[in-house]
Amino acid sequence: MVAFLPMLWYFLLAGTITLFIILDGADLGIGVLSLGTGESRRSTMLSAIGPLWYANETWLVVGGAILFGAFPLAYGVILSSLYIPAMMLLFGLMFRAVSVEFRAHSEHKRLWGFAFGVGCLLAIAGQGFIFGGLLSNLKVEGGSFAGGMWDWLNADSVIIALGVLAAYSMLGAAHLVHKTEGDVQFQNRRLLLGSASAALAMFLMIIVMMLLGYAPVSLMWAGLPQVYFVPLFLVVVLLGFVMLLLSCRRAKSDKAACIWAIVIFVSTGIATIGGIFPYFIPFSLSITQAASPQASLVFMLFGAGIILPIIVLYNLYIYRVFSGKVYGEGAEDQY
Amino acid sequence: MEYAAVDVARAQFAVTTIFHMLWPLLSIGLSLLMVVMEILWLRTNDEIYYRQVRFWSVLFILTFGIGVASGVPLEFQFGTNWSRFSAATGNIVGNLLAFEATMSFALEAAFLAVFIFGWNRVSKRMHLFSNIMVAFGASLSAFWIMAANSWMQTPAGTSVEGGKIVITNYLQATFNPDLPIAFTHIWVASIETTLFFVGGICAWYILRNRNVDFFLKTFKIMVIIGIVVAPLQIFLGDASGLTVIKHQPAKAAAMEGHWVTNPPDTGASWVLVGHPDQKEQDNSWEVRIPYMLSILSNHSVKGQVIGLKDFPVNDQPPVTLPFYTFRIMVLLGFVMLFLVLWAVWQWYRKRLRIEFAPKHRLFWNFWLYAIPVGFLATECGWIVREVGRQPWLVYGIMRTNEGVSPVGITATAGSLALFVVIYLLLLGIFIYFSSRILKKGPDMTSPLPTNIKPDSTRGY
Repeated sequence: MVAFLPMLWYFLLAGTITLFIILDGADLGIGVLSLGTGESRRSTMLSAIGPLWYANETWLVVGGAILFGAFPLAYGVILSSLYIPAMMLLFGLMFRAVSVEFRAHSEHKRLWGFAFGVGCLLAIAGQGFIFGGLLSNLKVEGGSFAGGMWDWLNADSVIIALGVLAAYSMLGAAHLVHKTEGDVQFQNRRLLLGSASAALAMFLMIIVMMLLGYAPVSLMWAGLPQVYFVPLFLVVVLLGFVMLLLSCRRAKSDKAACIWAIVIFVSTGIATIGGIFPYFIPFSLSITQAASPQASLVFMLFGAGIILPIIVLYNLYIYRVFSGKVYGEGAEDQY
Repeated sequence: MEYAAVDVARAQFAVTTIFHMLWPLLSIGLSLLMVVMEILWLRTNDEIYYRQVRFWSVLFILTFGIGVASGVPLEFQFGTNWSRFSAATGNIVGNLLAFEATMSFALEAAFLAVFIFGWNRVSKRMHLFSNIMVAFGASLSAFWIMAANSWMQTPAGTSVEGGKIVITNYLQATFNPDLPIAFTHIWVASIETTLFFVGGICAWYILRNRNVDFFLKTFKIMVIIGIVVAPLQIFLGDASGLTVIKHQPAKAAAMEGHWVTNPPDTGASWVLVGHPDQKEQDNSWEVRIPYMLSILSNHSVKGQVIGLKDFPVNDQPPVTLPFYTFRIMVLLGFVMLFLVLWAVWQWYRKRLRIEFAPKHRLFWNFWLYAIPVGFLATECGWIVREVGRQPWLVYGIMRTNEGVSPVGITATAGSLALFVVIYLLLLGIFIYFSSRILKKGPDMTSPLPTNIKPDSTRGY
């Protein structure tokens, strides 16, 4: 009971961030993939994210606000210690947003299309280095970051960032297979195969790296209760990869890859959170330490917590409104 | 060293806020305008109102996009540059920002999708509902942001125990003394700013004799709103000033360049213009109106108004900036009132008819060049509000230099430089594209939306 509210908010936050990663990760992945295609295909790809990427980015805003309100200590420490990756993420998102808007009005579609892709790439790199940086043993003293500006940059975080890039590209390709047809779909089946293989390779590498390189992580995974479920979810991730790769070969269902990609992301998320539980920032700040006082968490529960399911509901509604395949320049004719 | 780092962090917040504010000011106003137009369309079935919604929505989407792009960095800037402030006040400021994100931003962003892309996918009623949700989300957003900001101005429901800020009463903290007037003042400001933005665009078309019918219709709606809003805003400004005098006397004194408290039984005189000199703790020159400050501040001839010298120098806000920006804001408020009254006069003299309207070039030119006036007035007001709060971050509780992150000055200065460059670029590109949109003009020919769901391959 003591830590019920901090835990509740922690899992709400984790859910929000997972939604952001899955929903907006696909958008960002599509942006990166669009760097390597011609202009007409890029239009179709953009149509696939067209109406919904604002709504998807919302989850980051909601997550950031929950982090600030429920875990102010972690919010301050994470953002000030990972200042540079955070700025990469923010500038990347900024680039993406304005490039989409400006592209719709410009004749220089190629230029803005390129800016869009670079923005997405930067945003993914920022996220990758934030995840990598969180595992870089950030030094926290007296509730404040006490390390250096570049502590987040090391071989491990580079590998994690590359893994995130591969995984987001996979998600983007899977989403495109689901939302498009014909030429674009065919091309993305191939991209899906490539990015999923790369993501699998990086995933295995990161697991090995965790077990060998981070003594505290391997100790935690070996302890109770982690020893039961962390390996289990890692196996689920592997299963997800196998099924996803198989679905690339059979062109029967356009949805299958998307579903398996989501399985991979959710299980990785559970394994990660479970693997470092009860720490918020691994080995320097625990969830209860980082949390706001009880009264604040209750206040937030009434003000924001009860709204979360409602947000999910109306997002389901807009996803239904915009279900189905897309093609061509369609997105632009609404401007 | 630490002192300089605070300055750079402050500069970054100032730059990002001043730039970001331009867009929500416009998107709040435009979203309300589009709701009005869409209701008129559904009520009258007159096609022109549908065209109105579509025309203004193009500018709205562009505005919204830049608003989000520049606003998301602000949400995270509390953590990157002000981590000590965040750790100390997350349990109230963070909560209020979480309300903003969940109750309003999420709503706005989701229903925006239906509003922009859903014309042929949902019924007319559902579309209007989406439009209303976008507008409601935008305004509610401003409410929560102002709740967080006004708590920093007049912190309530709070006690300080052992150097830590503890919230004792969340309702008092949220609905702190400054919130009602601060929110209304800025919400009305966004309506007034948009009114002059839209009115100026109408003037541009009418001066060029293009779509005169279309834009006279918009302009008349703007005038009707203006008759209410322009005087109301001056009244709200006065009420806002009274709150400042009551709760932040040092800020009020700085705004007025008022150094010495008037002795009992004398009236404080008001500095109409002048130049405050903080070093000398006096104005180097000034034009004074006797009794006026007592009348303005207390609504009585001999009311006492506390002077800035009553505060120790290190508790005084900077004077020059609030003094001037306050005067500019007030002046512009009256300029806007004058322009609205002029428009009413023109209407009364039947000069807003299609056949006569384009002839009155002076009138339309005034309105055209008034496009930036609302933005300028609001930005000035914001500078008064924020600079006047200094040296406090949370008024009377936490000083600005106590809230800053332990981040080196190079990182902060580097990102600041990047923000400045990118924001200038964005502003330039926005002006470029919006002038192209204006040159293209409203689309009067495309087919009206049908609410038959297109087949699955024909999307968006």
